Amino acid sequence: MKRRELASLIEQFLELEAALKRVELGVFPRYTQRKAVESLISLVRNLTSSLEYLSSSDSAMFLIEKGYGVLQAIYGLIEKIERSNVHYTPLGAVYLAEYLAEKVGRRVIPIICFQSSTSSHTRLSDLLRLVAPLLPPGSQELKEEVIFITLPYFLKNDPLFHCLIAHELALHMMESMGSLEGILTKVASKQLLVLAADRLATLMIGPSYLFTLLNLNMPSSVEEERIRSIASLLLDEGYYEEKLLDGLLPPLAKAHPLADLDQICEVEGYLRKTNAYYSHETFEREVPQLVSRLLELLPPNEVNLHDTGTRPAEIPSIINAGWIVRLQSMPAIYEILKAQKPEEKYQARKKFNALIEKAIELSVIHKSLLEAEV
Amino acid sequence: MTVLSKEEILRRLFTSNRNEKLVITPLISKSQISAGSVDLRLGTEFIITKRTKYSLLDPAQQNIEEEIAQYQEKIHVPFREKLILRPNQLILGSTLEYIKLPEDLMGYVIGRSSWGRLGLIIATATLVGPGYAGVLTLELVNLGEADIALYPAARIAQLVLHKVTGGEVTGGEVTGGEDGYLKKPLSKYAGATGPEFSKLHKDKEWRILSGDSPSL
Repeated sequence: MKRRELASLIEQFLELEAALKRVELGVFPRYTQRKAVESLISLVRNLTSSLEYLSSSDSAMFLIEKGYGVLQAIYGLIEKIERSNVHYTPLGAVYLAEYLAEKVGRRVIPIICFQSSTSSHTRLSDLLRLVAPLLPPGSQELKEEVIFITLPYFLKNDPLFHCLIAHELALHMMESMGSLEGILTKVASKQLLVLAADRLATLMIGPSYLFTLLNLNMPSSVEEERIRSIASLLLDEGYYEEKLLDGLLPPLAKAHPLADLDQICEVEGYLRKTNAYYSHETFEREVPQLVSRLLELLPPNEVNLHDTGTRPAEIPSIINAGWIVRLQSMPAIYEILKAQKPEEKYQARKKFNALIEKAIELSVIHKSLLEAEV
Repeated sequence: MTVLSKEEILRRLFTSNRNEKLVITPLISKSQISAGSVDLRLGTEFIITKRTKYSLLDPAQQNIEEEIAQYQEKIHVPFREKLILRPNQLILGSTLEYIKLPEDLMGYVIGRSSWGRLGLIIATATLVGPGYAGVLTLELVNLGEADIALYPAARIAQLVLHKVTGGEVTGGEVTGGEDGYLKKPLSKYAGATGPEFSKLHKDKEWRILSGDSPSL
């Protein structure tokens, strides 16, 4: 019985490998997708060869128990990779994820797909841990972590809501730190983990993260505590003195720090020392200029320097500028575009979103070309 | 009409006078500006033809918009990837740069000779009207015998800028130019961020030309 089941499982793993090869042949313009497929093919090959040479009955039992779950999990990841193609996924979201992943600096390959009603993430290392007993020594270490981030489908075409990527990357960062440095144990409850990820996301992309949550229509009980905790951080960071944000941040009375959050100071401290930290100083330097550009219907992709021309804007600055105009000045945008009827306003909003997407892309290309010139 | 020199282009790019301000963003290097023109780069979005879905393109046809949607599709080729242009193939691309001309400037988009020698034509409708804002749609055709690889962000075109004199053009509609480039005051602010499908069918004269108009 065991032998028959094992043979059937091997066949299914071979079919899985064939499916991955078909995916590999597809048109995947991002190196991230190719890397993810390569990593999965290597994992499946290792698993298949382990299956073929199984000698101990314990291993066989283990695999029969876990094998089908692993198969399903990998098929789920294939679906995410296919859905991360540019036909389905706006490049703005991909660029934001790559930008943040690079800043976090832990060799992370992000795969973004829009397919559910909530946001979540899965990591290749979690899958590896599940099948670790079956893998040959040395094949359990990943050179680069692949993180599959799923975002709600209905947010696909709104680049400002893609800030949720920062939350998922923050969770991943804490999970990695937890295993590496034992910090995760300090952030005991799941709720506290979410609050901590919110605060890290805010440190990565500034007030735009708060605006994203405020406009997501979450259940109010969940929202209140999260908003209060983010607001307290924004207060500490000095955003409450920012004129550009007048009337956009929650009232100060609600923005008192939570006692429990002392526990995550260590993680925040770590992030502040990395490139992933988006400071209020950068916000002040870049966002006002970018807001002015948007109000002239120019993509907010670069900032003027006094002496040396222009330089590409930071992606969080672009998104912050986008949120500020969205929340404060859409009537002005509608007026410029003479949009009065709902259809006209919808088209104007689409144009506005396209400017944000374009700006993110231009900023990335500009930066890459400048680096190449140096 | 006079052609703008390198010095004048630079002055227009960095002036704080909004009426004279020329925007070309991003301008990655000042070396893109030469005597009389600015080099423009290829964007990342393209409109390609699905050859197996060819149908007659009759601008006077009532459902032409649906026809166009069926046989063309938008694709995105990210930076550092390439797109192959086959001999005799037409695709629509756009400039990477977003451009905004002041009311007293107009421009012509022309190809770079080094690409032309490979057989690449980049624009057949080349006029950019005063006040235009947006990326410029390029009609990319390979007239050579061999495939040509196109890379987003490669310098592919040149924009020659002219000063418009006299009052006929400023602030009003100009006819005779390629649709999308010469616009009424409202539309000139409504900038495109990628190549746009042909809107030829929106010309009112098709009803007359096709014999549908009761006035004929």
